[in-house]
Amino acid sequence: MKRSALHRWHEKAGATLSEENGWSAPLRYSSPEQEAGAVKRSVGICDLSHIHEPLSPYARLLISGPNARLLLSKLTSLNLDRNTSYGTVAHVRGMVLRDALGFLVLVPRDYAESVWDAILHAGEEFHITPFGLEAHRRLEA
Amino acid sequence: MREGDTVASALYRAGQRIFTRSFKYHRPRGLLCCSGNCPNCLMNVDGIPNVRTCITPARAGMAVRHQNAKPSLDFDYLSVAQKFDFMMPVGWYYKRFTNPKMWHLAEQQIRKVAGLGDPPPPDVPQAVYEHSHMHADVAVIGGGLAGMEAARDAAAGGERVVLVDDQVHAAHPSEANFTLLERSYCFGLYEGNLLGVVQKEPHAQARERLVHIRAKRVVIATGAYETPLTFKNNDLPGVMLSSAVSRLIRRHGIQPGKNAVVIASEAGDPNLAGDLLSAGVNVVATVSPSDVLEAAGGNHVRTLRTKRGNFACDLVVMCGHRIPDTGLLSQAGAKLEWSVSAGAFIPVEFPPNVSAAGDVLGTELKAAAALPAPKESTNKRTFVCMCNDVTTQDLCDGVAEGFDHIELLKRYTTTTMGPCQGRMCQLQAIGICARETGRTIPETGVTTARPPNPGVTLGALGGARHHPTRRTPMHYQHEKLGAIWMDLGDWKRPRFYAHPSASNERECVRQEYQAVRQKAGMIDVSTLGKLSLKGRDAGKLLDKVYTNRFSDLKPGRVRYAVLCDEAGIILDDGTISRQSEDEFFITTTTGNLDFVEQWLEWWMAGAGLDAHVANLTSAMGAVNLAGPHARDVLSKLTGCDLSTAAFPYMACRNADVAGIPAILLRIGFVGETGWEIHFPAESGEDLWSAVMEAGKPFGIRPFGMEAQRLLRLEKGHVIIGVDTDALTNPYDAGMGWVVKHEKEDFIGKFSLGKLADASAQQNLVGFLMNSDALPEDGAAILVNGALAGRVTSARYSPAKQKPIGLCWVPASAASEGAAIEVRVNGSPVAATVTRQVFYDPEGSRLRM
Repeated sequence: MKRSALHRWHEKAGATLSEENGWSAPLRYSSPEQEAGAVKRSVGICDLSHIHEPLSPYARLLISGPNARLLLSKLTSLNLDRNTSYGTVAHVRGMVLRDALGFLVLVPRDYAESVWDAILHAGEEFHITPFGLEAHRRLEA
Repeated sequence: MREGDTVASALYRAGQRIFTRSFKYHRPRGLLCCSGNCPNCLMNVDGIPNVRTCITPARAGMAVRHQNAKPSLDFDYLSVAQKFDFMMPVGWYYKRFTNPKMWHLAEQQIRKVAGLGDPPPPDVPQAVYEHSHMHADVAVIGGGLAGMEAARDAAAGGERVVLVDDQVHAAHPSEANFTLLERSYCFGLYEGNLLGVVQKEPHAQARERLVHIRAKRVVIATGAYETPLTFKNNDLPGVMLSSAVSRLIRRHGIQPGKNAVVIASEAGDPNLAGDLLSAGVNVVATVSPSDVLEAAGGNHVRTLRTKRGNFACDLVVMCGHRIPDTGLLSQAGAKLEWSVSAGAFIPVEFPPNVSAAGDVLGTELKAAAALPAPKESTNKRTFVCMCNDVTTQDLCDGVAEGFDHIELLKRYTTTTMGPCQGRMCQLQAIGICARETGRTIPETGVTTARPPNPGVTLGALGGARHHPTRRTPMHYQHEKLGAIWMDLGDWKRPRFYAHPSASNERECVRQEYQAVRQKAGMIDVSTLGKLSLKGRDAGKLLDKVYTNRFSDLKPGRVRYAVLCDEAGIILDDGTISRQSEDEFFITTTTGNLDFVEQWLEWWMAGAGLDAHVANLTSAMGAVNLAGPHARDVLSKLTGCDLSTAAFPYMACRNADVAGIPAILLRIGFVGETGWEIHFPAESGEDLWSAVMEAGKPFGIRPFGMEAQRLLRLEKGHVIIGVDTDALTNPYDAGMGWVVKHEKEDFIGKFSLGKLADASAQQNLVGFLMNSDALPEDGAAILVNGALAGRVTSARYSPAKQKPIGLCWVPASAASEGAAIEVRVNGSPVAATVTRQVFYDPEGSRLRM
């Protein structure tokens, strides 16, 4: 089983994990309804590292919700109006891509947990919620 | 305390009149501006010093303490300093303490007596500070009428607008392209329209947030503020600016005094009379600024003495000079010009993409009193600079002593250099400088405006404390195995594993060492830099950049690689394996990856070579599996033929290990038969578990950095940056064999050619202690009793049953068997130089 850099975090957070393309991925932490609702109200974060090109150094973290921009602005000086921008997020070199659901943050996987923690910390004021693939599918629909 | 109270208004309401003691003379000071401009209300709030209490909202339970007053604000015995003012003229410590020893003694006392608040002690719970970033089409600084209008216009025109204001607004803009930052002040306007903004308490968990705003266009609407008039004892509590009085009445519903004297010219505040009336303040008299002689009273004003007589009062209202707040405009490079009608310097020319709106333009302002004040008002009790206690007398003395340029006068007297950064005093100081030098005010000019103004807390500049951490793919497996961590740059690496059968670090390391030497051991080496180099000219590029030759390396083979600079200094080392005709796999040291990648890119571009570098460091994990049973363990997991005949030392293969595609390198840093295995990071946990499981019957143990360092030291393997330094070349380090001079050209060829012919001054050699004394890394080497070199690495060698190490010694003491001494615990201890490696010198164990 292939694991994202956040595998242990998901486990510790009590996520229900399943296999997606040979990767272990978090389906849900609480319920997809609650998670999707919280994202729509404020902001959420989802580990999409399983959408992976071979030998890619990057973990993919999706930040979604009306407060996504404000939250990300606390961690990067990049201009978030651009579709693709390269620079540091939470002091880590990476890139930010605009996504239909928000912002995809790509950082080297060895830094991923550190960046994930920084996002959760910066998101406390917005009551950030981690969301799983089920909520992600709901939001995409 | 009432709704809307600031800390200062709540204290004033409760009867507090003295808020601070002054910087030098410890004179009592009370509220003056009530708008965050002056230094008179700085207090310690919840452990944070120098808080402007007049603009800080009050909350129940706040701990507010005075600063710079002993024992209390009402009675400060240090106010005795006033009696000795004749000893402390302007620039007094330049004059009095010409003897360095005397100054040293005096300085300590002065520092205790003078100054502002103390930094918070370490036990104050650390407040949370944050950073944030915004990109906008238009940034408007100041949310008054003009600023709000400019912001709304821009928003209506479809521009993305951010409005920065220090106040709290009842109504919030509803447009999506309009952002309002409340309780925020802009402290600097930097190149490229970058604005530094501090937002107070942006949310419940944060004390301050530093917002970096980048705007295409900036509108400064900072308005104008009022500055004090000059007369004797103009700093007494109870002497206030008219804007402060109105604010106390209107905003806080406070009666600022019972009997007031108003000092105003004809241009005085038109709303003031109504405000005073509504608050029930009895106006005893209204006098012209030119008629005022002095204020009198002890700790509070009781009388205003004027040319028209003396008036008993408990409040003196100064209708002072209103001057435009041009600090940010000046920082941006706007040109200021003296306006006689406004009685102020006003902006007349603006740099591109910076404009101004409202009172900051100064067009509506009217001079409040004659400037400069007449000479007869010069004395030691008329304060110009409230921050640093600079009087009209001090300024005149400064000019008389030759500091007759406004910038010199500023530095000599420190006027405009306190917490208010000249807001209260600049105009008066310029006026006095002009008068004393016989120049006009425009000739005298203004001092340079620099950020930050107002001041910023170090916490806000520092921001959130977040140190990024890098974890290898097997991080949590190490944790489970009891890893004791060490930091290597951002990386976390196991130093050793706490094993239940070992009582201390030494024993753990010994067991890990024994496992590698006698059975099998595995270490996580994911932190190694990993680069893939592909392309027609890949071999050529490596020949150019590294000292040895790679173009003739056969696919499936590995070679040790050293990289030098133009001077022949070793910069990095690693291994390079050729995976196919035009594809190489390079490893670098953990710390130098970024450098090597850039170095390759740079020389590729410079030499016009056709190749491509890909950084695989984060994409791949790696382990080193080594020991006499390494082959037995690995063969359980792979179909690859691991026999020496099929897979010899210094060979590489691509093969599946436990079903995971991997690159296998047969190399031996630790001196045993072993393989370095590189694999996709996402499969790291599976691979680690599979090897540990397969190794169980053979007694496999994970080993950490400490065991690895010992194992390699026994082999005499050098660690770049530990055993070498910024002056080390391959010949000194005993690695001359890595330089292939017959190559056409490579970086450092010229210098290395010279070095090869010259005899080395210093050599990196091994040493064996004659006794059991273990030197520390870095210990001194003595030859014939004189300091001659240093130890770079030293450990107790189980193979030699003695401490061993590497050290730098002069060439004269570098021969086999030379006697040297190593300083251990301060005493020289005998040791012997050895040029042979300490363990398996023939390298037969690597080739088994």
